[in-house]
Amino acid sequence: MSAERAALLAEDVRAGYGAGDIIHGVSVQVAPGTVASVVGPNGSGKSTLLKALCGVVRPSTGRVLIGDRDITGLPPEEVARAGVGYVPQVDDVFAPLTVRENLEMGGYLLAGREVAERVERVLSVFPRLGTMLARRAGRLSGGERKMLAMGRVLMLEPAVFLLDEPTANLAPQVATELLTGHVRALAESGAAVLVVEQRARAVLAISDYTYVLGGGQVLMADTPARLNASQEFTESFFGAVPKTPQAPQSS
Amino acid sequence: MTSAQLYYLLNLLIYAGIDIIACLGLSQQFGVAGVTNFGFIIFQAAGAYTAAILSLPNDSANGGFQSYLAGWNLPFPVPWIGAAIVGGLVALPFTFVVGRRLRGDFAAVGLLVTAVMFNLLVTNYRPFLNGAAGLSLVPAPLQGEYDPSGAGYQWAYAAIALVLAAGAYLLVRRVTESPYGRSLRAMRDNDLVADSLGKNLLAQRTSVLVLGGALAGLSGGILVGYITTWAPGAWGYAETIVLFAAVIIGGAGSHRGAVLGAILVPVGFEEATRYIPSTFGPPGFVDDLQWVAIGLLVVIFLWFRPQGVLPERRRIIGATAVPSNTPNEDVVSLAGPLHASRGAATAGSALPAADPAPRATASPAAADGGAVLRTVDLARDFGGVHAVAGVSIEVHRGTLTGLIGPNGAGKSTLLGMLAGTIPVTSGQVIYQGRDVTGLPAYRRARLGLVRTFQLASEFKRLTVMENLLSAVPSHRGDSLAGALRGRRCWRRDEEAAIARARVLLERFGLSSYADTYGGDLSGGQRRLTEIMRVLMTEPAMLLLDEPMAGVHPRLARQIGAQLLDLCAEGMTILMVEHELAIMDEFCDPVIMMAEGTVLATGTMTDLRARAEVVEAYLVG
Repeated sequence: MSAERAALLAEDVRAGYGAGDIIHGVSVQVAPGTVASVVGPNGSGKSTLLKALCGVVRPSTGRVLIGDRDITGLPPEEVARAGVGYVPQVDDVFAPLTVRENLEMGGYLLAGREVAERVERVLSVFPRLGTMLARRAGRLSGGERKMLAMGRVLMLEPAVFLLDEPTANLAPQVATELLTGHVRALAESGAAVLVVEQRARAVLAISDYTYVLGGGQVLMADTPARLNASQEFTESFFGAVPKTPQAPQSS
Repeated sequence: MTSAQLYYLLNLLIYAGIDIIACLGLSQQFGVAGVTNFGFIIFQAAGAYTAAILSLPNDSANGGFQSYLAGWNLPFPVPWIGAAIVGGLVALPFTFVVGRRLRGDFAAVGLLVTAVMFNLLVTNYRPFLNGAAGLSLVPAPLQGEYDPSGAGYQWAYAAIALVLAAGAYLLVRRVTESPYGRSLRAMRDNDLVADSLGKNLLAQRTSVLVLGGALAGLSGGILVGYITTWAPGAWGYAETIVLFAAVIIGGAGSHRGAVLGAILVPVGFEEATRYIPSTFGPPGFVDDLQWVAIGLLVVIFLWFRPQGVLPERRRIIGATAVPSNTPNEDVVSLAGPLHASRGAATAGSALPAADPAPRATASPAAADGGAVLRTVDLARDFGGVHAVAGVSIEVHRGTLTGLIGPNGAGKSTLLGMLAGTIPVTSGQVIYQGRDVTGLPAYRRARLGLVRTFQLASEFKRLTVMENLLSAVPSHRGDSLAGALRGRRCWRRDEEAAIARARVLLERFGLSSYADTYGGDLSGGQRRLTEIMRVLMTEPAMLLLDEPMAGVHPRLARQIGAQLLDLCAEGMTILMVEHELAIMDEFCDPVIMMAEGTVLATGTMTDLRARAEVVEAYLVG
């Protein structure tokens, strides 16, 4: 991936909450039409990275580019206008509204005539939503709900999608389906997709490129095929098997 | 002083006595126990009606122009005693509203709605208490023997009202300043945690409702004896708000604050605004402005001085008995020397805490193959999702057992089911050979199985010392009866508990923070306080939910070392923690969960050698 093709480019981003940085100089980039994933154990800084990219947390150093535009330190609503669609982990749909109304809310910034047209385009990316337009979002299953959340963000046709653990709280099979079917579909619609995931194996299967975070830094960055084959990748999640028999405190 | 001025002054004194009694009752409920009783006025109304119908002759004898129940024409002081008793009894059904299932805001709304319903019922059902017209010509106490309009009678009435107010003050103080009062304040600060420490929330809420209800009833009895009339218009739900304003402005949870608030708001403020000339605006304009002003007063106080004029005072108990050579430093450096060398510390610190695990030394655990805690096929569904799907584990005495797994593996759900804070869908929890599956959290806590919480759970407005003392089991002062019997009844228990708490504070290096409010501690200090508090319950087994979360790594290791020391002394600990380095260093064995089931058990080294465990973390 070359820098001039990247839809999202973050360089040496440091960020945290008050008391100190959680991520220490992280660089990622995503090209249009591709899926990049960020994986790593609990507390490795995945969510903080995503928050720094979408403007919820202000980076202390580094810069974030959307295409050619520098959005470093802009508030979330400005970041959204610059073409970044953020799908949060929870509270991602308006439960009392119907599926159609949710999509229309997603197109709040559009002219009235454009809305219906965009709804059609979203439905062509997520055909299953078309069968449940009149249903209340609160009555959807977990997978359908996440699909609607992504569809709602797609209404504005952002250049970059940031997905925060889209498969959290989904059954494994539904999770795989969501990733292979729908997250992939977002990329195929032409957007650059950066997805943070707890389910490393499943997200690697749909990624073009993967960043492994640990301790707030990028430990590895490579194609999924090479990561899957790597011993170091496994160890970054669960620690290395000690070489010597004297493991600490294993009495 | 003209007789009119004297009459006015006595009038104010009598109202002060009545409002002080009511405010003390409400302050006890709202300020001390955290029960937001928006239906408080019902209890005053119940007392007033009771006193009225106990002193009225039956309705035909009274001219028959009003209809009401009973009418027994009983002599003073029976109607007042009846008023207090009925005020307390009326509270009993309300415990269903503020019971354990309905908490906080919902209970408050429920009580408000109940107050409105009662008022509508009494207003519209005339045979009961004469409907909207209310009861009038209620005999004043002893009016056959004395002239109620005479100055001497008025003086006596004011004196009695104030003496009863003083009595109410002493009663409320006795309860609040006892260990039972401390439990009430603990419930106010965090009811879930109080429950897990073995406090019976339902009983505690019932007792403050009954106590406050009796005081409100008494105030109603005194009021109706003075004004000799009582109608639904006198106890609209909004009257409760005036009393709330008094308690908030005076200082919620402080008895002196309740007294001051009663004098400032229902007496002082309402009287002062009476002197505003009512010549401007439409009729009733100034009266309505009073409500606006009271609302504004409450908002201003909540904004600028939420603790009130006379705030709840800090209970200083201190840590002076144990000579402490540790100056007021950072905790991290305080705890440091204790475990500079772990081996030495373990050998040297035969825990001075009186008796760390007395129940663990009893033998029922041995009867269960050495397992202190065992589960059989334990499961929990949340709306069709199997958060925990058939877990059978054993935790053995004296081990620091770890529980790990990726996000959503069901660790916290399992811990909650073991502690009794999350109901079980199916399966069994066997603790020390006994099936405890059906026992609520507080009963399990009394058996020595106690949990901590992942989120901050200190009682914020209790000092560190009080946080520790609040956890003492079977304290003689920790019941309404014990509290009412006074300090003599529970002093020895309290002194023993303070001594134990001081030893723990010394051991964990927090002696200099004994009188600091829980809410003013740093993250690490809160964790330590939580662990000390749970040790005060003399547990046989601890369930710790991420005790090192958000703690500096150095302090986390010191906590780990303290936990190992406890285990060496016979404690059993099951600990959820996602920092694998902590597991490596301190936990053996480690139980690994994924997708609601146990995948493997062993040392971290064992687990790493198993491909499916590592893979589970990657699958997530």
